[in-house]
Amino acid sequence: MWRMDNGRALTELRRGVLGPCVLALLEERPRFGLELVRDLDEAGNLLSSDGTVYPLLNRLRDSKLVTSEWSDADGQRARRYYTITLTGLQALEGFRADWSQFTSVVGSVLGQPTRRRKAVS
Amino acid sequence: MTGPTTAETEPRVADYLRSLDGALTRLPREDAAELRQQIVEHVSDSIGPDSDDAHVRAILQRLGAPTDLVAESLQSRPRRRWQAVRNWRWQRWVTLGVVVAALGCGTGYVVDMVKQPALQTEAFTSGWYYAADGNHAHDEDNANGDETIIRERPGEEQGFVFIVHNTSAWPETILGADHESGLGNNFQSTVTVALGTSNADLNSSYRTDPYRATPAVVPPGQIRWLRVTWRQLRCQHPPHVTTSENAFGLRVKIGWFTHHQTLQLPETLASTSVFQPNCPNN
Repeated sequence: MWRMDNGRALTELRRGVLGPCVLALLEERPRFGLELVRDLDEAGNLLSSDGTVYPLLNRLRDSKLVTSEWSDADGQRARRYYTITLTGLQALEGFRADWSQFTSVVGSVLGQPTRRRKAVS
Repeated sequence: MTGPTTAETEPRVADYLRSLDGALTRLPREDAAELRQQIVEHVSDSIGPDSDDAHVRAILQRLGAPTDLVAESLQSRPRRRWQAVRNWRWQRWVTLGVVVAALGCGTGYVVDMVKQPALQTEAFTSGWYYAADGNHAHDEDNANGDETIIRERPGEEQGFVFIVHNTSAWPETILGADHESGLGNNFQSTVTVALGTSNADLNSSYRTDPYRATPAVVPPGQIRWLRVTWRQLRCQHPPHVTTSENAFGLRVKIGWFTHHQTLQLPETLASTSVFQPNCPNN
């Protein structure tokens, strides 16, 4: 019998939304790696592990959605800051529209069952 | 010079980075170096001089296992073409080496073919083809040097000869006159090119050497008499018009390529038109 693996499903969901969430944080202002990790963590445990944000950032940069640049913003030591590009902003807007529709559909299916069924043990 | 940061020298971090280095061998070199730098930067930002062992352990644990990071990197990035090349077996590399060597040799062969020199003419080795023309020729000094002038022979075949020397290492096949050279336009007639069949020395006679119509080959290092003939149309020129040539164009094939070669004639060859009865332009 098939059983829903909630942990795995959540991981897959996180993986799917992590890119747009990173873009949304960078939309506010450029951030460096650890800063992004902390902000994603504070937002609600969006990362399965902290290190996974770096392969993601590299992929976003390869897709021209973000750029990276070394900067010594706080005068302490140089860090690699990530900045969203115009293409990234457009992709983010597109995702927001899709996400709104998606969550609405999923919410209506999950939250409002049309009829009760007898649970099968 | 910048040495390792405090974080990198911390024993647990050093162990983690060693494991990471092992896992990173699965990634292309540039990607591996970048990911390592990002991780080192992350750890350096997270760990201070006062961090205790538990804090360091927690930071590294939250980073995730090195193999997971590399797996994530491999999964989330498109497989690059050269990365696929890196995974080729040795047989493919050998095959590639053979192909590259063959291409190199082929390229050298073609470059050698293209770089061969054009046919050369030799000084004092030109003249009118018919004895009668030669006997009636007279020399004049013009701006370019000697010019040998004869009269036109409307309606009859006439021509000149000169020596061509193949100084290249390849056979050069003369395909015919290059009509863009101007000769055909000047005489408004079909120009025929024929080549002597023996390796002529500079004292040999163009009259006794048999000729072969083009296309004909000048072997490497040999010289040949080249005969150019045409038939002048009647009434083409009004009387006393001089037409001269100091160069002659040929289409020459060397190897796979056809070249347009313009050969400087050893002297300027000119003909003067004569009065012809019943011509409208008299």
